[in-house]
Amino acid sequence: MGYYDIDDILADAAKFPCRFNYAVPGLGYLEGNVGEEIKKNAKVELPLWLARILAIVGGDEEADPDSEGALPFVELLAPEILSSRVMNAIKSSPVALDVHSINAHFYALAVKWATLFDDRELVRVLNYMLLERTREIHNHAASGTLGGAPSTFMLTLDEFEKKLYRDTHSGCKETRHWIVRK
Amino acid sequence: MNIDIDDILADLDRDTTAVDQTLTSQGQNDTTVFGSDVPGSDKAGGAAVSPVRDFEALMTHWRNERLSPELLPYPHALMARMLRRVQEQLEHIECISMGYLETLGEEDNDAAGDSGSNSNVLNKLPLLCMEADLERLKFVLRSYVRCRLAKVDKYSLYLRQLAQDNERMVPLSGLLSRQELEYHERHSAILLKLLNNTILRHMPPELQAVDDNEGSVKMVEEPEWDRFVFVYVRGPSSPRDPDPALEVGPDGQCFYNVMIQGLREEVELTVGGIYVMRYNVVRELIMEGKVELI
Amino acid sequence: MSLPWNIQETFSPEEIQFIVENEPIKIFPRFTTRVSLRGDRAKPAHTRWKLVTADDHPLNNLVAIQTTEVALWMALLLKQQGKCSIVAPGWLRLSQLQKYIDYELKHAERFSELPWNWLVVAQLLFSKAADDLHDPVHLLRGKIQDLREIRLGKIGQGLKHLNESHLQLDNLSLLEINELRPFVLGVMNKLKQVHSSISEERGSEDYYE
Repeated sequence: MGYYDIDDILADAAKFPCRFNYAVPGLGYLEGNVGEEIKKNAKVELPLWLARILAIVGGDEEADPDSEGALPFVELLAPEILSSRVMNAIKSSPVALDVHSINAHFYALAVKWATLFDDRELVRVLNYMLLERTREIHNHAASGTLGGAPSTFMLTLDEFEKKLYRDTHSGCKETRHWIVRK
Repeated sequence: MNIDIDDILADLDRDTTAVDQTLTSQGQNDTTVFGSDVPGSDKAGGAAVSPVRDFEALMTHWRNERLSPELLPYPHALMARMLRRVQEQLEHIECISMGYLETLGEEDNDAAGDSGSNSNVLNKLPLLCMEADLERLKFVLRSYVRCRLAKVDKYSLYLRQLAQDNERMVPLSGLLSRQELEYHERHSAILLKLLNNTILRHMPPELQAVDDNEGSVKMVEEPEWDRFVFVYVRGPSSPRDPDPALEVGPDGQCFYNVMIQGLREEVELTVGGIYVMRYNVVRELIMEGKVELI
Repeated sequence: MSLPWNIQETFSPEEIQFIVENEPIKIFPRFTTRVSLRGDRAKPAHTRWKLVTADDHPLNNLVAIQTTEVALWMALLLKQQGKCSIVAPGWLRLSQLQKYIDYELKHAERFSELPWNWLVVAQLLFSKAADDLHDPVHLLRGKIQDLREIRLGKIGQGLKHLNESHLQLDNLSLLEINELRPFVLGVMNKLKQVHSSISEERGSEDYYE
């Protein structure tokens, strides 16, 4: 994590579904209608870095003076990567899940979502998923089989998991080599 | 100024090492590993500095530096002594090997027999070991300096910010050696000039900052204070000194109580134990030499 | 880069070896350096030892076939020159290693109290001082290999205890820690990040409920 963290920037570019709480003139191009207004309740997919701001910043207070704090511009909707289908798959067999095909920055996005919505259940699921999957990663990295056909599990890793595998593997490999050389 | 005083003190310490080493190495060691950075504390309680103690202290500094997220304070006096010792040992080895060559020549002239080769071994062997010994010291020194330089590079902008912070207790000249400080100042100036010439001056003024920490993510990279580290709980450096932070459990085990901020969790760090802990939780204990990174 | 990226925040196995080599070990020297009091003190017959990383007193007072303690690297160097034999540590014999193996097998959740440098010391002595060991080196190697595998298996089992708070890992050796470091720290740092995403205040409320 840091200002120049490329994985964090890439994760922030992932698109999340949003619903507009207001009609906004001139934003129609977001749904493909250039030059027109975007309608209230229109559903569009926006990159997370943009959606996050629009979901926090308040809209036009005069339009709805009776409400206690104005509604934000958009409402962030639960994305497919965190749908109950995916959550159930994690709970039933985390190691079998193809995380990479769901999103290459799955953990980063899930953490961002949990931060936005203070989602305790999601944190619980992520904790379980991390422990189960990283143990499998450790098994692969420590066994030292390299050069053969990559196992299907190795193809399902997200970016964090890949880096963890690389670091773990090189640590184990160097230690093994040292022992053999002695 | 600070450094000059250190140099003078280091000189004094060197004088005490002229005393037979067996006396000093068998004596009680009062100096804490980190206390030796503080001018004057080397000689606390009258315990003299010995090369062996210094090397142990350097090893601890090296290992802590390699494993800690932040740049740790530079041990000015210790390093001054170490560098001087390297120089002296180099000269010493040179002297011996020249003398050795002379005696070797004489023996050759006398067509040395078995007795000659035996004394050859007794002359050559110490030399071999002394060279290996010196190489080991040089390796640690090099690796230590390299590690620090890597951090000076990594935290270039952060260190500039620290330098501007007037409320800091330790000035940058205490954190860095004189050479490191000079390197840091010139390197970061060149880096900023490069960034400015290649990109920043072509941007609108409001986008030219490289040190804007107001946004959601700070632009200037700080050490990751709460990163996990492996630690060994060493305990107080001298059993004679009462350590107020040290608590004794009902089973007679000594431990330090630490608080994990964020989790509001208290943990007992038993002396002799190995833990994986957040760096900021044990930072004070590391600075005091009671906990070591492993 | 002034320090290669792959050894930043960790050590290479060779550096772990370097650290372990500073530890003392007993040797039987095959030569004498002690100058007898009756001898000519002003001009010793040979070069005096003067060291910068280790105590040179024992080396200036060696008496052949009298045990003395020196740093492991020095012992290995003298051994290589045929100038000493190394006294293998007491734990490095078949009967002792078998006891450690039995302990490891009996206690699934704990590690036996092997020295913190057992793996490095064993490997160094196997390759450089095999003739000084109490038992045949191939049998000792087998036991060490068994110990390593049992402990690796235990470490693998213990990984389910990783968490976002802290961990106590007594009796792991330095080389084992170094091998485990990238994985354990990687996972625990990620767990910490996951857990810090939810607000603290409510966490503590839940705690007191």
